[in-house]
Amino acid sequence: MDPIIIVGLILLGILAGVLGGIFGLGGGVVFIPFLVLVFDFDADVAAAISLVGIVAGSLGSTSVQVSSGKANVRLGLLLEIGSVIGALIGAVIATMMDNTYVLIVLAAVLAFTGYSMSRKNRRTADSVEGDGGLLSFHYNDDEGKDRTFRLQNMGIAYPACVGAGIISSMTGIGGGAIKVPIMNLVMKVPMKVATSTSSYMVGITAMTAAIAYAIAGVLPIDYAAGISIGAIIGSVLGAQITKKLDAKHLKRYFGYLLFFVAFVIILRAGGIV
Amino acid sequence: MSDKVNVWTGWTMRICAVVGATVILAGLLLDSDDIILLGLISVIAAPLLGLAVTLLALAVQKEFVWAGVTLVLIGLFSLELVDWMYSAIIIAVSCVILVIAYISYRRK
Repeated sequence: MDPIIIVGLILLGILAGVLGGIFGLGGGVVFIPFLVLVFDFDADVAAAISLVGIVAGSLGSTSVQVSSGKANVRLGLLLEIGSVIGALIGAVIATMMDNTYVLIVLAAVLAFTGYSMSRKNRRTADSVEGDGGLLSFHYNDDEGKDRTFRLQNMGIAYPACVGAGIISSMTGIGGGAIKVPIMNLVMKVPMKVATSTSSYMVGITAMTAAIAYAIAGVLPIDYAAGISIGAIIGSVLGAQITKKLDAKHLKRYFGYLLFFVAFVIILRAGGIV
Repeated sequence: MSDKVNVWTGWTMRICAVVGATVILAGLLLDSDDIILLGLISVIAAPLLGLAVTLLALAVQKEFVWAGVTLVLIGLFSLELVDWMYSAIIIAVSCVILVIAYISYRRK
């Protein structure tokens, strides 16, 4: 491969890792538009490369959140059973579905992510106090006090996790923008725990789908390698930048940008660009 | 007492990230597809290795229900890696272990 392309992929990985760390995203919303619109990949190939980048990026940032206990590993494991099932289904669908329809789904997910990011007053749900059972978990609140919460509405939430896995796998986007609202609004998981645990879950879901794409012969190894390097570096940089930067306003503008990108991808799906 | 699950899993992911990135970089510099592939496998398989370490940590801490959940999750991955018949057996055995662990937990 041309060294310039390798450098370009590494820089793309760094950009996605940095923006992912700042805005709390998995990086897929940066990878996918570039891979589809600039590198002109089909949606399933772009998804495969993006998912490898997400796995790589998540290793850098999530390892810190897991080690410190911010990400609830047990909760993540429980919900990942549904998400992994969805990821397996989604990868099969994406390789069989026409590129146009996958691009339409991708545009819808980007628009939804943009909407979530650009909202001024994001609705959050209060948690329910834990009762010491298996579905009760401990966490530290904003004041550092040890508190508990109990999962709610598992009957609705679990199929939603399967759906999140399908969409994540099909589009190559980590799925945090879908999983965090499910965890907070449906299961009543505290927002702080939901966002940290989601970043842990995203890596496992992305790995499942990436392996499925690789087995299907859709994953270009050299592109995935370049993106991986950049994503790992970017996630470490992003974690450092986040400590010094207040990204609330930037988040809203990035959300507007995602709307625009979703629109361009719809045009691509229609063969106009 | 620190939670071994969090510490061991976090460190496994970190080590895989460093090793994977180093090997991929070496492969790109040496223009060797085999080395690049090795590095990519290290990166992509890191969450799976993390799950294996998590399983070990849960077993050490005697959290057998959560170990059963982890086993079911690992069993689902086997659908991608081995014949579906063997996967079905692995998943079925994992579910049985999970049910036994849960029944034991309820009796305590």
